[in-house]
Amino acid sequence: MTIEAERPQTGAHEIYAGYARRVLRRGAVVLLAGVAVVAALIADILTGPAVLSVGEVVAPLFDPDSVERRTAAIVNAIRLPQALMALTVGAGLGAAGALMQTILGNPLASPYTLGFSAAAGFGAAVAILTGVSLPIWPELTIPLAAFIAATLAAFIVYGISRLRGASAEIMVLAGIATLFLFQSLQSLIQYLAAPEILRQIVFWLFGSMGKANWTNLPIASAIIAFGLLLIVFDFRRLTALRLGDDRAAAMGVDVTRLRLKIFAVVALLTAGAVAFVGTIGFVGLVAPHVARMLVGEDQRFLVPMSALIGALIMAGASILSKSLSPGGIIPIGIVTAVIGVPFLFSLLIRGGRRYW
Amino acid sequence: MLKVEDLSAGYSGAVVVKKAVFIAEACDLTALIGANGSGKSTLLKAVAGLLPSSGAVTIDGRVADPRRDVAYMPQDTSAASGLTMLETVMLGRLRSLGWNTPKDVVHEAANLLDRFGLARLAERPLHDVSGGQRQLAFLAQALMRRPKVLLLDEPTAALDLRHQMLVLETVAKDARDRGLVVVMAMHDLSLAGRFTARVVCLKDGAVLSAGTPAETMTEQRIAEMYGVRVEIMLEEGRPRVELLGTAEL
Repeated sequence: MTIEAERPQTGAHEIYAGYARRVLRRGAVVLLAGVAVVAALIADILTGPAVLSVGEVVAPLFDPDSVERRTAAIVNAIRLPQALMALTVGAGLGAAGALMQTILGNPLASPYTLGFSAAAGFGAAVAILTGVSLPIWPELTIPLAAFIAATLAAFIVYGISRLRGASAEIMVLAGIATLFLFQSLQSLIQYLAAPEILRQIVFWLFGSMGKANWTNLPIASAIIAFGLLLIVFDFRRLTALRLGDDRAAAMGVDVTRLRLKIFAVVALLTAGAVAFVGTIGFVGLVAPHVARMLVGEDQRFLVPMSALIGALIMAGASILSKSLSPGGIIPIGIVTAVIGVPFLFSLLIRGGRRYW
Repeated sequence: MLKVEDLSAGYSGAVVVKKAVFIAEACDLTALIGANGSGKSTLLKAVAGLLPSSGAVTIDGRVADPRRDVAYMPQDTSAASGLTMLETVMLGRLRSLGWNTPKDVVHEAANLLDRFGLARLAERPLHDVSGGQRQLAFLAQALMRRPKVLLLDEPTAALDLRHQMLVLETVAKDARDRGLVVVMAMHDLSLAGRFTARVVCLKDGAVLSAGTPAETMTEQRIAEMYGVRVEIMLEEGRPRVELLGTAEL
């Protein structure tokens, strides 16, 4: 009385061919997104109060003397670092968002869920309020304060999570409590601050690429690149985590250790991104969802793709922030949420649960 | 042979399994039976090394390394994941998956899916297939690990009758062909009586008795474990369990 498996319509060989095609297709999509990022970078540099041609933008990148000095200055000193910072921050937040959604098993998670950015805002507000200044590189005072506060928030959540076995639930609860704590402290400082100081604080919190320059861009890029390098060998374990803690553990993954490590990396990526340019909302939430629809759940593709989509969204928001009001620049942090929300809504309505 | 001696385990202070002792032979299926909350799942998890425990677990006389020797399949078949069936099965070979996926891993996963009649679903995401189909994929994933000991928590719970047979026959064949020790927590006593060589009875976290199905599955013992009246009929030396009603306690 033996029951044979019903005759398959596809054999093992076809399955392999199908898998190989899928991997190739995903690789091509990631590559395409990379090309789109380069195109968006050029478009971003082209956009601004001063009207420049493609030639004027591309030429000074290679030879500053080939165009007018004013044009070269606009491109090299202002637009290029700002456009590159937009990509860096977008990549950092996009990847951090994907990692966060994976380790918390929650589609609503973003780099901001656990309060790092609220803490960064608090740190910046303290620095602005007290007017302290580093003896060397005074312009890095506020970013450093923001970074330290974000790290502090990370340590609080990390410590509490560690005590209770680092389950996703404990992490979310500890994180949201930390988020509210730092938001309240931030409000307190705003309440106490004199009007001129308050203006500075609020402007910092908006998030703006205007803060980017050749001093802070390399630092932010190095922090984010370092964070991403730390996880390149964890992608398979992260993929296993998408089947739940029990199953991942049964496959030999040390779930607690992996979750805490990724948490630390997300804290680093987020702090590195927001410390220099302020709070940029929504990129970290939306980018992973778009990436997931394009390349699926395999984290080898999902995390890099989320970084690229994050960079693309930021470049798009940067272009929009410079085009909306003629001659002026709206802080990018305002624009990302404005384009992010309708975008997420359309995903929710069309995608259903198919992509999560 | 898997040998479990004085194994105690539980969750945050509460001891669920108390000094459990049993053996399970290679090439055979062993059933773990007992009422809800009797400690079947906890015992399996403890043997899989997923819970802090005291006692000894040895495989062929050597201390077991659960990460290398044991594959465990949890009971829960839910998965809000967009991973495809094929990707899910391949994850069983996590150790040999790096940035690249070795060709033989894909082939082996594909063969397992084929064996369970799931080849046409290979590229479908987990949340798009039925609970039973997911359970088969998770079983394939456990087999991908090429373990010495396979621990299955209610492997037939989400399956229709045909697939219950398919799973138990597949597992029995693998046990014979590969010299595998298979321990399954089971609720269906007739399936346990029919397919397994040994039955371990659990009550309140302790092993009540262990032996062949005919030895262990008596009307009196089942009444004691589950609080029900049953009639046991022996067919070719294997017990078939007929439920008569609740026992008068």
